[in-house]
Amino acid sequence: MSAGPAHQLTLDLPHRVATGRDDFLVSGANEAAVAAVDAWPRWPSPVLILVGAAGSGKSHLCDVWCTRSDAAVVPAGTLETSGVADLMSTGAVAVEDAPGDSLDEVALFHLINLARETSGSVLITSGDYPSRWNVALPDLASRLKAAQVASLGDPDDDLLRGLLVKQFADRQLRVDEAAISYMVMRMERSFEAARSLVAKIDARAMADRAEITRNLVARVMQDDTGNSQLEDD
Amino acid sequence: MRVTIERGTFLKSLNHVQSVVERRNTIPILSNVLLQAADGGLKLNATDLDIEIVEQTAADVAQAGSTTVPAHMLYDIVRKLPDGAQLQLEQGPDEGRLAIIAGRSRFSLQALPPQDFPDLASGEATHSFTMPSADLKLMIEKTRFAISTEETRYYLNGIYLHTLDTGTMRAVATDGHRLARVELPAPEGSSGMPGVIVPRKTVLELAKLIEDEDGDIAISLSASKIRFDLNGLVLTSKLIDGTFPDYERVIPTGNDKALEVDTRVFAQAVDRVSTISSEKGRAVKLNIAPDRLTLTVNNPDSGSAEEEIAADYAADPIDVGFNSRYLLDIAGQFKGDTATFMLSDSGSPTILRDAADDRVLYVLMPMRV
Repeated sequence: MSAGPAHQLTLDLPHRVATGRDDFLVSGANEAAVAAVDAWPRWPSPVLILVGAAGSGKSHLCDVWCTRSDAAVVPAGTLETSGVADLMSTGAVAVEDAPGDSLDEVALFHLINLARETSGSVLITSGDYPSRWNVALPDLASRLKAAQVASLGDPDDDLLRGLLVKQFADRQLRVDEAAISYMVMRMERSFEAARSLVAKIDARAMADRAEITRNLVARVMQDDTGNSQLEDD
Repeated sequence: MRVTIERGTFLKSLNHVQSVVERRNTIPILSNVLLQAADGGLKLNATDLDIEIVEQTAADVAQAGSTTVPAHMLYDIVRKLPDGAQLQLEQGPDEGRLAIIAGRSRFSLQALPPQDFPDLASGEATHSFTMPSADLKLMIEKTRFAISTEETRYYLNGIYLHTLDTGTMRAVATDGHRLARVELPAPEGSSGMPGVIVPRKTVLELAKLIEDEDGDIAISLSASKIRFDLNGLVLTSKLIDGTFPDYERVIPTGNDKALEVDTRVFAQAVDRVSTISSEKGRAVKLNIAPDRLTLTVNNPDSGSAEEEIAADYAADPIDVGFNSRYLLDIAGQFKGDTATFMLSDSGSPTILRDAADDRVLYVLMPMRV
């Protein structure tokens, strides 16, 4: 991490991530998904599927919706047929990270059916489009086909900039504009890259007791590139 | 305003309030101390807009009134006047100056209008309680060295004071490299108080003010301000507007390698071997084996050092590096003869405790050596 033969390790102090509606950054890359979530309860279909890469804001949007709709949240891997009725007791259920490795397709089918019968709503987050989930149960496949799908695309420059500012703000760190611009111009354009880079910069600044300046950012990005080249070799 | 005051009494009060005044100020009146003379005596007030200290002191008031004069200059004048002198403070008719007269010495200081002096209103307190000064001293003494001085980490630039449902009050400070935690029974009335981060400057001022105190200190606070009331002196401070991290998550619970050493012997050995370490990488390596601890420092520029000391240790041997300065900081806080380390591995946080004081706990991150 740090240059030199000996370096200080740091306590992994956790930080809170702001997940309110106002904290969600809207740009061309995700405005369709935001509009779809905001349209609740007047959804065209009882099921909305949010599709996006890791860190694209699916869970954040899902949190926002759960707060509004008082929905129960369940990871896709733990969904069971026996629990479906209880989950739907508030009329809204969020299923996170579908399909996962162990999706109970019958349970999801029942959940969607129950939502249709009771005018309830189901929001599903996923890293991939439902057509690529390899669903074995034909009835579930047809239900998913009828669902509304909204995708969150890769971040554009504006979103990337906003995302970096938010990630630093979540960590209660003040970072000057020059450092942010430097990052936006040179970093990989993905949500995961933004999250990981900010975490590395935070850790390095804490280890070295340094301010987060453009120079520090440049050093971290340079080391990062060096390390990934070493790994490739 | 016409006041007579004994030099020693005035100097003591001025000493308390003037240290809060910054040397450089863009707002001129912040360089000044507010003097208010009334029947009860003389009231002194100084502030930097984040901290305010107000002290009431005994004085013979012939004529009430108020004014503000440069705090450091007034302090220096009073300090240089002979011990036991009686000082007269007199405001001229134009109120633009304050005369300080003692024997044959006469000073005239330019004054600024008292109505321009800022008031750091403490606002409505949500919780009030009293605490023995010894407890407050303990909380400050044992944690202040771990407060972060990095302005980037403003949320770590203070001591986090909070209570738990178990009826305890905790003071915690961390700079991300080490963490200090003091736990005491929560004073009556403190239960349910908001967790507050008391800024470093306030902590240091308070430490000076309570050094010679041995009574109780009244504390009242809200989510944005804290107020300490000690024997005629009131310190009010803004709190840090940030969220202290969930520090519990970095205090390891499963460290099973227990090492016990003689605190003094250990500290002296660390100090000796670290003599040759470079200024930047102050790493000292601890080679811990059953009943033996070897400390080594290698500095490519100057050489190496090694010292072996007796230790009580029965787990698997382990090598771990620490910043020698941090080890000495922590060992310096231990009053008992035995220091206990609870270790896991060379890359994980280690717990350090004074075997004679279970109220205090330290967590130290190793160095990769």
